[in-house]
Parts: sequence; C-alpha cells; structure tokens
Amino acid sequence: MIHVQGLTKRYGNITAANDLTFSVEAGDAFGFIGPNGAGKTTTIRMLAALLKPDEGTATINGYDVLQEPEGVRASVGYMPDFFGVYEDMKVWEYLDFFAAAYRVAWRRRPALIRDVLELTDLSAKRDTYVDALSRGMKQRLCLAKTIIHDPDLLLLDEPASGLDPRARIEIRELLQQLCSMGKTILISSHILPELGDLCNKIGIIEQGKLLMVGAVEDIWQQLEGGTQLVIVVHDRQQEASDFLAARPDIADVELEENALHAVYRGDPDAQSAVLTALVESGFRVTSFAERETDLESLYMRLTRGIVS
Amino acid sequence: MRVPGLNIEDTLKRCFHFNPCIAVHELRMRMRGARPFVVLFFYALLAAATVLITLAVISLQSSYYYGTPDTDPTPGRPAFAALAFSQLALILFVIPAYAAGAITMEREKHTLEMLRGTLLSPADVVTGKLVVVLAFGVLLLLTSAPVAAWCMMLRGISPAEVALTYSSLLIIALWVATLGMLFSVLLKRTTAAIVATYITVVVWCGVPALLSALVHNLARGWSYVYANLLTLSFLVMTVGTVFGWLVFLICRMYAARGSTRSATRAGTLVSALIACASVTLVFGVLLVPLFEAGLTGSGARATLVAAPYGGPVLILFAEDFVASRSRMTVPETQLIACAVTGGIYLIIAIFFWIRSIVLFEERKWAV
Ligand SMILES: Nc1ncnc2c1ncn2[C@@H]1O[C@H](COP(=O)(O)OP(=O)(O)O)[C@@H](O)[C@H]1O
Ligand SMILES: [Mg+2]
Repeated sequence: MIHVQGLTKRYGNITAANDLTFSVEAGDAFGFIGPNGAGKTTTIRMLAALLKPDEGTATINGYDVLQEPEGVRASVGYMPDFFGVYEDMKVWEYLDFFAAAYRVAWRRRPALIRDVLELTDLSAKRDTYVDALSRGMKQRLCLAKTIIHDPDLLLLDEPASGLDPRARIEIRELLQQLCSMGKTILISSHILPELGDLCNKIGIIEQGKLLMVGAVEDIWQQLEGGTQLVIVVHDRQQEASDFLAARPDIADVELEENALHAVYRGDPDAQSAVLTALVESGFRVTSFAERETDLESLYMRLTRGIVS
Repeated sequence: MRVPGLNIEDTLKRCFHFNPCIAVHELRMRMRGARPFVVLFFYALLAAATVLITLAVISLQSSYYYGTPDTDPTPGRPAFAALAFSQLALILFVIPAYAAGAITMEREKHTLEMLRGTLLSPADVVTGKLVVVLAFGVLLLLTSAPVAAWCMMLRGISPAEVALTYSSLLIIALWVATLGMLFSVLLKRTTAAIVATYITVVVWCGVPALLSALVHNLARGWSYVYANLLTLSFLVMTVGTVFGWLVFLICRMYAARGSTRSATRAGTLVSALIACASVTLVFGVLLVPLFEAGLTGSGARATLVAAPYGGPVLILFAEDFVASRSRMTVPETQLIACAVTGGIYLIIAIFFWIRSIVLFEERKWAV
C-alpha cells in the first residue's frame, strides 16, 4: 500500500526526514511514533502529496506522490494535526462540501453523509454548526471528512492529541472499527499507549531518522535478541533463577516480585522445553508466559542511546 | 426532483471540468441569516441618499442663481453620475476586502491544507472563490438598480447609457476581484493582501489622474494636436509603468519566496517584461481610434479613462470631450470609450485570474 524508499526532506540545515525507507501492506495499522519535532508530520505530508520530497520516492497504492498526486489524493484520506473548521457551516454541509470536493456524485452524497455520521456517532449533530462542537466531536467530524470518499488508506496525524481520556477512547474504538472494515491506517503519535492496542506494526522516528520498523513483536525480538518470558514459580524462586541461568538458551534472568523475567534465545518452537525442564526439576510453575509487548518500555529502550 | 443531465453541478463537472463546490458552499454560508440583507438594505439606502443629495444640491444651486429650484430639465443625468461614482468607489473599496482574504483566510484558519488534499484543482479553488466575490458584486449592483431606474425617470439619461455604465462597473469589479485574488495567493496574511490591493488600486487610479491634470495645464495654448500626442504618449507610458511596476514587484516577491536559482529569476523578469510590453501595446493600439474618433475636444482629460476610478463613469461626460469637428456622435464615442476601458480591464483581469491559478498551482508544495 505504501512503499517509501530513501525519502528525505530538509529545511535549511534541519533534516526533518532523513532517508526513510519502509513499507506498509494493505490492511496494516502502522503506528508512527516519535517525540515532537521528530519529523512525523513532515513524512505524512509527503505521503499525502502535500509536500515535495527532496530525495527519494514514495508510492501510495501504486501512485507516485510526485508524478501522480491526483491518484494519491483519491486513495488517501488525510487528517492533519492542526485542522481548521469553517465558521457558519453546519455539520452536514461540511461533509457535503468535502464529498463534492472529492467528486462524489450529487445523488450519492446524502446517503453517504448519513452513513459516515452514523459511523462517527454524530448523527444527532447533523444540523449543528461545526464551530459549536466540542473538540472531541470536531476530531470525529474531521475523521468523518477523512473517510468520506472511501479511501483505502488513512493518514492520521496525531488524531487523539489534546483530547480528554474519554474522547481518546472513542477515537480509538472508531479507528479499530475502521481497521476491521479493511482500511489501511497510518497513525502518528507522540503518546505511546494510544497506539498500543491498535497497531500491528510500528515505526519509531527520532530526529528525522527511522530507528526501527516492523511488527511490534519482531522489534522486541531484535532488541533483546530473544523472547521475553515471564515465569512465576510458587516457591524456591532463587533456585529457579539459578536453574534458568544455567541453561544455554536463556540469557538475563532477573527476579522481580516473585516473577522471573528471562530472555529466551533458542529456537522459538522449542520454547516449551524450558517449561518442561522446570517442571521435571520439581519447580511448581504457576505461570509461564511471553511478556506482553509494552510499547512504552520498548520506546524508552530504543531511544535511550540517542536522547542522552 | 431533478431531471438527469440538468443538474448544474454535474454538468459543470462533466463539460467544463469545473468543480463548483467552493462557490456553492460559500454562497450558502454567506447568504445565511439576516446580515447580508441588512448590508444590502443599507447599500440601497446609501445609493438613494447619494441621488437625493445630488438633487438637493442641484435645486439649491438653481434657486441661488435663478431664483427657482427646478431650472435643470434633466436632473437625472447628474444624479446618475453621482450614483455611478459612489458605486464605483464602493466596489473598489468593498471587493478587495472580500477577494484579498479568499486564500489567505484559508491559510490562517488552517483549512487550506485540507483543501489542497482534496481533488479540487487550483482552477477550481481560485475560480470558485472569484465566482463568490463577483456574485456579491453583482448583488450590490443589482441593489442599486432601482435607484438607477429612478434617475432614468428624472430624465437626462438613456437606458443605453445606464447599461454601458453598469457593464463597465461590472468589469471593474471583476478586475479588482482578480487583483485581490492575486495578492491573496501571493501573500501570507489577509491584512497584507488587502493593504497591497488598496495601494495598487490607489496608485493605478492616481497616476493617470495626476498626469491628466499635468497635461491638461501644459496643453493650454498649444494646438490640440500636440496636446493629444502628448496625452497619448503619457497615457501609454503611465499605464505601462504602473502595470510593469506591479508585475515586476509580484514576480520579485515570488522569486524571493520560491527557488533562488538565477534561472527562475531570469524567467520571471522576462515574463514581466513581456507582460508590460504587451499591455502597453494593447493600450496604445486600442486608444488611438478612441482619440481620433471623438475624445479629442479635451483629450488631456481623457487620460482619466485609464484610471479604474473615473474611467468607467467618464462616458457620462462624453459631450464635454467630443470635439466640435469630430465625425462621431456622442453615443458612438461613448460606446468606443466603454469598449476600450472595458476591454483593457477585462484583459488585465483575465491575466490576473490565470496568473492566480498558476501561482496557486506552483505553490502547491508550500502551504
Ligand atoms: N515549514 C518548515 N520550515 C522549517 N522547518 C520546519 C518546517 N516544518 C517542520 N520543520 C522542522 O522539521 C522538524 C520536524 O517537524 P515535524 O515533522 O512537524 O515533527 P513532528 O510532527 O514529528 O512533531 C522540526 O524540527 C521542525 O522544526
Ligand atoms: Mg506533528
């Protein structure tokens, strides 16, 4: 869906996007994470054919952003980080305007607007003036506008920034629903938990450089060189810890509040051998699990070297 | 129910590749509520007041000189002239405020980026906004139409003259709207764009007026042949200079903002020169028959035809300009004068319009 090769954008001597290369497949939910000023907005605007890259290429849905911006615009729904709304415009008029701007036929628009309003839970606000809506509602309306021409790909730049927790959850549920409708989503954020449940793939960007891209689990694997295991034994924790540390396929055993955190470096299919060995040695294992992938600590680990 | 194929929006899209949604939605927003009607009401009131005051002045003068208030058999003529001048002033004052904000306002409200993200072409955006501004101008002119009809009833002004004046006013409205649009595309802030438009209008009006006064005084005592030659050359130089100054300024601003490559600069310079030369040529060629035909009696004052303020209304004073030896009648002269001013401003307006679209397109990568 998105193929980016060596994408670079410079502002004076700031390199806002530095040699980015990644791709997003159809149906993916790609999280684009980085602190403020990392270059997320710059990258997304280049993908939406709104900003000219200095170097590199990007194709969206087979359309080159430089050569065929029309094709890109037709297949992309772009939600900017700062978006204005027109005064004196009602909700349905706002949507009707953008539908018309995307060349949706006049006849099809009323039904389309009804569907989109229903999806974003704004049906009751159809005749309200746009600038009378709350911030969360405006954000949902902007999302409704983004999907009005039924694009395959949504480029969402910090869609949940500045929202209260409830509105944030509503947006996330909406995005999950859009995912399940088969849309490909690229969403940027500087707040990690926002992307946790939503994304199956992430890219971490800092100072214009893409530090890492891939499935969340893969990144863990690369980072630790193995799978994180969390093992809880009923008693004899220290002994269990020593037992694990003695195994060649286990690295880095730590004991934290009764739970053993270990990194498994062996064959992923033979992971259960560790459990078997523990049980056969008489340890009373109450829990043996792969650690939940936790974006926050992942992110902290990744950016540790650069920030300090 | 709409008959398939008769829907205006679909027809425009299919036949002219023009997406009218900006015009449709902005008109809907602007005509909402009581405000536009209040504005129009006061506009009509102002137009009526202009005519009333003119009539009062005429009868006061008449009473003073002749002892009776109604010696002028055709009070409709000065009344309509006053109306036309006030209309012209209002158009030159009100339209920039609307037109110059068309694009900058979107930029300031952060809506331009979303607009550019849609499938609207630069021509759709620029033309759509122009249609809205012009529709407003037409509405203002229509509001004053009943007052013009009243002037006709007072005698002294023919329907043809009213029609000519109104079409000139419309073309001036188009010209000032495209000028405002050009600055709206070029500059970042609404206030800057409005101020730039006002300054350009004032300079554009002022230079011909100044030269007109100068030449008029110089020409006294000379034969009118010399006076007219002088006027003609001054006229050509004035308009050429004003226009060249403007185009060059615009090009330089544009070049400074965009790429600094010398090729771009050379390109803008050449295009500015070509633009100046062609407009000067157009002015010269079009004005020669006008001067030969009729406006020779007081050719120096006819320089004012080139000014946006005054020019379109000057036909109402054509009698003063037509030479006694002229082969042309007054209505013929009026028609030619109207065609010349209208033609020139129409050509410049079309140039500005196309330039706005091109600049909007060129700046699509830099919101
Ligand atoms: N128009 C611009 N002119 C100059 N510098 C810019 C411009 N836009 C962004 N930048 C710079 O590029 C960097 C990346 O910005 P941005 O993409 O907005 O980051 P993010 O969206 O991740 O917060 C920042 O250092 C910012 O200052
Ligand atoms: Mg940003």
